[in-house]
Amino acid sequence: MNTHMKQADIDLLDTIQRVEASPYLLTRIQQRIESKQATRFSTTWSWAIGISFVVLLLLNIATLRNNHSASSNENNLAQSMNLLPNHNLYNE
Amino acid sequence: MNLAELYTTYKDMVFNLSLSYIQNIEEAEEITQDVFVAVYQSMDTFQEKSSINTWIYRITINKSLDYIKAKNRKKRLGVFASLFYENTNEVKYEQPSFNHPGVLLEQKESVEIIFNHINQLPDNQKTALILYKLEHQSLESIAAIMNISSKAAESLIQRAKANLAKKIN
Repeated sequence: MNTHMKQADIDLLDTIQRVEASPYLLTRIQQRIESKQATRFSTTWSWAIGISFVVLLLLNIATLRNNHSASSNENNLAQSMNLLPNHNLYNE
Repeated sequence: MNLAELYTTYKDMVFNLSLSYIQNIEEAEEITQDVFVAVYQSMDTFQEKSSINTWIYRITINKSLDYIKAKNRKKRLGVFASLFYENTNEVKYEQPSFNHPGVLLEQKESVEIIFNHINQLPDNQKTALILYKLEHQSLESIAAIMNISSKAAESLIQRAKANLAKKIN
């Protein structure tokens, strides 16, 4: 008896009817997709701006380093040719 | 198939399946939207290893289970917050009432009790039972959707029924 009751209870699930989805859902889905795409677009742009900023920064650092090493090379060359400015006339 | 065609073909399937998990119209609509956004976004990556039907079933199941987890997390947080804030004897987050439009009015109370018990089942048993009893899927398609063997699907359904019977009385 008890088992029959339980089975009958579970079988109540078979009486549940199918329901139709709201016709307005498609519009809401399309709006969501559009807003997600807009967000994704701005995210892409912010990434692009961020990356170009980092690249510019790295380029600046590289240029500064090169300039530094170039100027030390020039100094070495000038030193070897006794072209460095000093106050001793004729290397006395 | 474009989004509108996919929507027309699968909207009722997605909506009814999410309704079986959530038993609330507004939340089921929310999940339906999530599912179609996910379908649209991963349409390019869909490999036809399984049928599109199975693929959409899987997305709906995952979205529904994720939604339930998030809802439970929110509920726990609400209980936790109510312990610390003064003048709040009530729980901040309240689970929406049972609102399944497919249930006949005279059976609403009994079906709500059964759904309360189904909601306490482990996720895989719940999924197998919903697919079998509410979606009227065959063992083979349940196995394909859940990525298990037909025997495993059958055993999950039997265990779910046994657990449900224990809980009912």
